This record gives sequence, C-alpha cells and structure tokens, in this order.
Amino acid sequence: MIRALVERLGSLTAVLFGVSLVSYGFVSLTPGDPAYTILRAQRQSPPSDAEVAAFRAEHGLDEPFVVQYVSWLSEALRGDLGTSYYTSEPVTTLLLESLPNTLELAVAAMAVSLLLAVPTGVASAVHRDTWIDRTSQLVALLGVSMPNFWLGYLLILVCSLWLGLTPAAGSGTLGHLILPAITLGTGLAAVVTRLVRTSMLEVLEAEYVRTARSKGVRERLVVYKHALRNALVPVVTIVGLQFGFVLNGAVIVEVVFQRPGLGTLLVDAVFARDYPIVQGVVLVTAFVFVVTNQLVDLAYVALDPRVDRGGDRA
Amino acid sequence: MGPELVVDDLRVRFRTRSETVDAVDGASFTVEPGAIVGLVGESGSGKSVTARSIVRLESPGEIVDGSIKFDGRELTSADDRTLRRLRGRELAMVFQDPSTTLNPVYTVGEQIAEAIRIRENPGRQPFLAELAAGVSSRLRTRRRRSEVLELMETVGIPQADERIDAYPHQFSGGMCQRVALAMALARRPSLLIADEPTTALDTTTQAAILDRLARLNAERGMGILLISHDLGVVSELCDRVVVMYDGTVVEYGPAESVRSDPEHPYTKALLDCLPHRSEPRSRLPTADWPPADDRPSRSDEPPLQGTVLETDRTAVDGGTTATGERGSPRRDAETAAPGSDRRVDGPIVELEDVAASFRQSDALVDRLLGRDERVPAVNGVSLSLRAGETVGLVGESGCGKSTLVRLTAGLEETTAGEIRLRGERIGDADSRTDDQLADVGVVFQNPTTSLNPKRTVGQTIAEPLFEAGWDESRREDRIEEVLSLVDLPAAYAGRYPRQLSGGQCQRVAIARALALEPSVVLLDEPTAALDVSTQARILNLLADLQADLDLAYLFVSHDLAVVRHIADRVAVMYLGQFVEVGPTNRVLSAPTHPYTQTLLDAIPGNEAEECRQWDREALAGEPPSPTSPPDGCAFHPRCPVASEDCTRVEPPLEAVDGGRTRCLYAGEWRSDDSQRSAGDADATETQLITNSERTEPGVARTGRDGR
Ligand code: SF4
Repeated sequence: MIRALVERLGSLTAVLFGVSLVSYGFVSLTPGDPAYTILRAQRQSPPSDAEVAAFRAEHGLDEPFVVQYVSWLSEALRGDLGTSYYTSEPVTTLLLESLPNTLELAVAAMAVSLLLAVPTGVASAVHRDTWIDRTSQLVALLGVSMPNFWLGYLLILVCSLWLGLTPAAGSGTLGHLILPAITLGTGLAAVVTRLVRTSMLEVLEAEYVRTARSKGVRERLVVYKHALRNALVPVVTIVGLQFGFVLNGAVIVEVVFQRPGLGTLLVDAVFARDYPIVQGVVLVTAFVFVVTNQLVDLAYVALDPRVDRGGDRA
Repeated sequence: MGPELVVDDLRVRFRTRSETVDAVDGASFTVEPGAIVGLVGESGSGKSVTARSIVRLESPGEIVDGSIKFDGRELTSADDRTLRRLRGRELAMVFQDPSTTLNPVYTVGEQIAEAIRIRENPGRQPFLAELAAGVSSRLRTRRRRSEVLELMETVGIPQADERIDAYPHQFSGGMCQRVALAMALARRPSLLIADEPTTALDTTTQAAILDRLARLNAERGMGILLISHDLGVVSELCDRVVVMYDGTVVEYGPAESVRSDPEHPYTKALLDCLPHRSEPRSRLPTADWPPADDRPSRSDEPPLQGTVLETDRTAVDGGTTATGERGSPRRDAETAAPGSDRRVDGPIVELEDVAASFRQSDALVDRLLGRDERVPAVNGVSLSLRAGETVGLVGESGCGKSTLVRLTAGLEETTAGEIRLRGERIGDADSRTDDQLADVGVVFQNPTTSLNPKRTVGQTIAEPLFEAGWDESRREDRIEEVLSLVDLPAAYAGRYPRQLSGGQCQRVAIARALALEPSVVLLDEPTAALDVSTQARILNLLADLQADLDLAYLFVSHDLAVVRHIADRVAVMYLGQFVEVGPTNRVLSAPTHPYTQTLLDAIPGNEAEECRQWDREALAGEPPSPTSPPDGCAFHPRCPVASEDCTRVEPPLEAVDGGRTRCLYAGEWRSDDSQRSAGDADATETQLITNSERTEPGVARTGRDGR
C-alpha cells in the first residue's frame, strides 16, 4: 500500500514538473513583449526604452530562459508563484481566491450531469428501442451538439430575464450556482448517458444478471444492484477523464455568467499578458486534473474487486 | 415429498430478424417429487431452452404453446410476482459456466445471503437496504453469517470462514459452482434445475459435484432436473432420462433401460458414438444425418422425424456412402489393421527435461524492483513422439498440459531443458527455420474462437502457406487438397466460419494445421467443445489422417475415454510434472499412480472394474497452487494412499510395469495397501538417495500446502 502511494506521488510530481516546463516555455515563446504591452496599458502611452528595460530587469525578464525558469521553479517549490505584473498581488493569493469558486462549479456540474445521465442511461438501456430510449438518445444528441456558451445565454434569457427565477450573474449563493452548473453539466451528461446506455446493454446480457433473476430478485434490484455497479466500471474512467474538459468548459461558462474563478482570472490575465498568473492557473489546473485521475483509480478499486489493490494480495 | 413438475407439449419460438426458429417443438415430460430426471441432447436440441422456460427465463424466446405445471400451478401464464416467489423459494436453477454466472463485484457471502433474504421474504426486498447490503465487503449480521457458512459447508467449500468475504474471481471454477449451488440451496428449493452444471469443470470436480447432488437429493428429498449433453453424467445420477432432439422428446424412460436398451434410433446412435463404449482405435459409429453441408448453423439441425439414423458403419456396409468419401474402401482397409505396420523410426519430437515458468506480474515496476516471481508451469518433462504414434496427455486444468503444447509449438519459451525436432534442437517460433515451422501443426480447442471470423475458409488455410512463401496457384491447389483431406467440399473455401457448424470449423482448423504437410500435429482438446456425435466423426477423421499421412499426434484431453480410444501411449500430468507415462491400455486399466486411478474413478457412469470407487469427495480437492507446491510428493494432500514419507520425499519418475511412474509406492498400493507399510523402510531409503543425487529444486522448496 505504501509502495503504491509513493508511486502515485512520484508520478504526480513528474507530471506537474512537465506541465510547468511546457507552460513556462509556451508563455515565453508567445510573440509580443509583455513589458512593452503592460507599461503601455498602464500609462496609456508608449513607454520609453529605458522604462521597458527597467521593467524587464525588475521582473527578471532579461535573464536567459533557463535562469528565469529555474528561479521561478525554486520560488514555486516554496509556494510562491510570483506576483501579478499589474497589481503586484501574489499569484498564490489570487489562485487561492478563485480556485474554490471554480471547483464548486465543476463539482456541481459533475453532479448535475451524473444525476441526469445515470438514470437516463439506465432507463434507455432497460427500455431499449422504445420511445423512452429514442427520446433520451435524441436529447443526448442535442446536448452534445449544443455549445456551452449558447446554452448559457439561453438559460440566462429564459430563467433570469424572462422568468426572473435566478440571478443572471455573479456568485455566492446556490441560486448563482444553478444556471452555470446546468450549462456546464449538460454537455457531459449527454456523453455519459450514451456511455451508461451502452455499458448497461452489455451488462444486462451477462449471465450473472440472469442468475440474479433466477434467484427471484425483483427487477429494479436486478438493474440497480446487479447490473449497474458492473456497468459503472468503464463509465467511471471516462467521467474522470471528462473532469479535465469540465475545467476547460468552466473558463467559458465563468465568463458568460461573470463568475469570479480560475476561468475569469485566466482570460483577464491572457489578454493583459500577465504571465505569472497564466502559469499559475495552468499549473493548478494540471494539479487538479492529476489528482482527480488518482481519485478515479481509487473509485475503480472500490467498484471492481478484480482490480489489483496495490499488491496487498498474496 | 415435494410438488410435481409437469411439462406438457411445450413450444418455444425464437424470432430473429430473418427467421423464426422453433427451439422447443412440443416437449412433454414429468419430474416426480424428489426424483432425479436427466434431460439429454446435443446442442440445438432445445434442452436448455426447455429448462429455462420452466423458471420462465426463456427470453429472448417466447412460449407459444403448451403448459408447465408446478405443484398444480400453471407457470406459462404466471405473473411476475408469482414467478419471483417461485424462483425465490421453490425452483432453483444452477447454470453452466460458474466463471460468468456469479456477479464479479459482490462477495460470495453476500450473493448467498441475498438468496436467503429473498427466500425469507420474497415480497419485500427493500430497495435501499439491498443496495447498501452489497457495498460492504463483509457480511455484517452474525446470524446471517452463520447461515451462509452452514450452506457453504453443505456444498463442500473448505475453510468457508476465510472465504466467505472473498470475490468470485478468487475462486476456482469448481468452487464457484459450489457457491452457485449454495445460492440455490439457500432457497430450500423443492426442485433444482441444473443446466450443464459440470460441463465446464474437470472430471474430478465433476464427480464431486455429482456426488454432492445425489447426496442432497437423498437427504432433503429435493427433486433434480439435470440437463446435460453427456449421457454418462446423466445415467450415473438419474432415475429417469428424457432424450431430446430437434426440439422434441424422442425418448423418455428409466435411466437403466434407456442406457442398456434404447428404443429410439437417435438414442442408440448417441450411445454408440461414445468413445468409452468402443474398442480402442476402432472406428467410432457416428450418429449421421444428411450431408453436413446442409447445416450451416445450429439453429437448423436437420429434421429427424421419421428418418432412421444411419451410422457410418451401416452406410459403409451397405455400400452407400452417406458422407461422400467418408467410407472409402481404401481407408477402411487401412484402419482395419491399426498400428500393425507403423514405421519405427527414431522419434520426431523429443522433449528433454523441459521446464517453463511464467511471470506472476507483468508490471514494469515489479520487474525493476526485482520482484520477479515466477510460477512454474512445466517442470522436468521428458517425452518422445514417433511417426504414426499418438501420445495422449491428460490432467486437470492448470496442470500444464496446454503449456506443454504451446512450448512444443514454439508459442512459449522454455526456461530449461531442450526440445528436439528430428534430432535438432529448436527454440521458440521466431528462431525456427521454415521447414521446422512447417513440420509442426497445431489445432486448438475451440474452433469458433481459433478461426478468424472475418476470413474465409480458404484465406484461413492459405495463411500458413502464404507465410511459407507459396505462390498463388500452388496455394489454391493445396487448399483444395487439404479440404478434401478433411472431407469438406472444395466449394467451402469461399465460406466464412459463421456459416459452418462446430464440427466443420474444427475440420477447417485441422486443414489449416495440415496445410504445410507437418509430420507432427499438436491437438489441444480438439473435441472438447463438440457434441458427441461430432466428436466421433472428428476422432475418425484424425485416425484416417494419421493412417494416410503417418502423422504423429500429441493429443491433449481431459477426457480419458477419448484418450483411451485414440492414444497409443498416455502421459498423466499433475502440477507441471509427468506422474505416469506408459502404454494406454496398461495405464488406463491398471494404473500405477494413485492420481491416474483418481482420474479413472471420476469418469461419470464408469462402472468398469478398474474403478475402485475411492471417496470422490476427498479426491476432488483441488490441485495445490503452483506457486507453493507441497513438500514431498506433490499429490500427497489428495492421495488416498499417502503415508508419512510422502510428505517429505519427492518421488522420482521410475520405470514400472512398462512405463514410468512418479510414486513411492508405484503399483504396490494397488495390490495391497497393507503390504506397503512393510516395504516402507527400504523404499524410502532408496528414494532419499535418488533424490539427493538429483538436485531438483522441488526438494529444497519451502512451499507450504496452499490450501
Ligand atoms: S508418493 Fe505417496 S503421496 Fe505420492 S502418489 Fe505415491 S503414495 Fe501418493
């Protein structure tokens, strides 16, 4: 068990290191001098060469790439991701402020999608080729094809402006969370519904399901106790991977609903070429992504006893 | 006594997109309270569908007519509630393949406990509580636990206390089937419907399960409906037998009279083609019907009604050849004198002290960390195979017999010892020359999975030819040639495997193995997946081919009757080693190793004199795990004649009675068990010396008894 843990921590570190290198590299490769852009934006007029040079010296931008990266990395290891070029606020603080908002949104979206997808997928499989199945397939198709932002605006229009049910923008209350979570969750729900359906169809043919029926288990339990748990094994993997896309989608949805969060932070920083923030956001996203994947592995073990539990079997 | 089951004129129909099939076409029979009734037939006879219809699991079929009455109640029209009640309390069913019939994500304890809960209150089944019951891997309540333990002991699961919280994948096939049986017994059924309950198991395990069923029937008065393709199994256990063919019951009567004096020609033909009833190496009669090419799939077996079955023998006698070339006089003449003019050259294949082991884990980390534990699969095996000779290889699953085939075929690498082909040392397939590759053909067990469904028969056979660099026209000619060798029309080259029956698929597999004119053919359970009548035809074909082409066969089988029929010599394998090698008729009539005797005892329906009837339940213990083999003789935990010494001394393979045997008391235990103790001392001393001379790893092993 300890060995497994060490292995996982090792791979986590390796992935984060790679991500930091790539993100740092890409940011430095982007055309345009951040010093010039930023100073210009601050003064509202083109800065002089001396001012640019001073800015570059202050933020270490005149050093060679490797030196820049190493010094950033060593700071980062101590938890200091640098400061914003604009506001001089520490990046770590900014991240810690927006991360919970985004996680809240992502988790809520996952919950919405699973709550929609699992029962729909199961119903679809159980009532294969009936109107229930066809309707849910059609809805799923719509869900996949509809862009997030469009659904978001649509929901704002209907629920907030016409019906006045929920606040249109901002964050803080549950009411603020509902529309963004639905917006973000439907796309995923559509994917998961199809997955659950396929997986259930296969499992319902399995002989152990027939055994359960022959035992006199009632049909609802045959489906939810004997079949569903087996069917969820492949689903969990995909859902775990999809979490990355949910984080992605959060960027857009946050902008649409003007929710503070990693997404808004990132978009603002990109436009302003506030590189330390961009790097910080990328790093944190990667971190969350890798950690979810580890959690998925754990869920796997819980669902399927055949998965080797880190070598603790003789 | 319990209630009676009456099936009357049952008809079940399958509708597929293209056709409707009457899987059961008017079956009628009765299972009296407490009786054991056997339902026999070949695949496609409708026996399984009939059995399932009784518990109303006939889906995707549909009962279109007839009635099923249990305890006076009509089942064909019963509603779901009543059916659930019946399934939960009265009619329990056990299915064929235990590795797929248990739910992999719940512990066996929970699966048995669930059945108990349903029996106690079939109407309740609270949704959330049931869902929650499956989540934890331990059974919580003590009372339930002890009930489950009791059931596990009833079906003969040793160390039930340690295994109750284990998952099905941690159990062997035999143990899984016992769990399934425990689940059935949990319902205290008055009728148990067992659908091929032992087909997927070793004969030793099968014998134990059958004994268990007989005992349960005697103790509890539980009626049993046993569905099987195996007349031996059925006649051993059952009071009455129902024989089904093409959806109808063709014979129904007391087991004894059906067996000894069958009325219907089909039953007669079925009994005749059983290899253990025939003279060794003779031609087997085959229950034959219109030429095989009319039968692309099992759904349309040819009609029987009204036609008298012709066996091969009668066809030949009468001068008509029902199956084309099958009974040509040339072959007949040759098979008439089996083995008499066999060439006695040097051996073609020799194995010397061959060993192979597998990595326990393929994970890179494990290899890097040097945790490279290897499980021995084959250990110190020596064997030679001559032209025209058949060596039978028998043993329980996991004993290493298939590994030996794979090693000889070059599909696996040896870790020690050498394999020689015509005197030259050969390695794995990659290092063999084209000629060497061509010299060894292989046929695997399941023809439907060993043939690529996307290739035509012709393409399948052409594959090895193509590899060997034959040009197109030569390939075409050869395909036609080998197809005629295996008695398939040349037109079959364009067909796909799904258009062929199981027996025809196996013929194609044999044709592929013969394509490059090998001198050795390795046959890994070539008939295990086939019906008995098909098996008989394939065995005849193999005998013909051997006579014509002077082939050497290494014939792997778990079925001693088949091996007795076809093999000149037998090698019995246990835990990766040969325990007895010798001429077939001697080894299988007067074995010198107790394990061979065990296998003989386990043959269902075997009433021959060589059957000593040791307590089968004890013998059915499972082979110990190869990772930790027992000290001394590997067989001692299961050996009925083991002594103190057997737990310490590892017996060598010694020449005894025309063969070689690995037992301290080789042959002696047969004549007189008491004499043995007198001879004990000397025997042990010599063994000790031989053993210390041979620095075999087995002696130094610190393994403990795995179970
Ligand atoms: S050596 Fe002993 S334990 Fe082994 S087979 Fe012979 S009698 Fe049985």
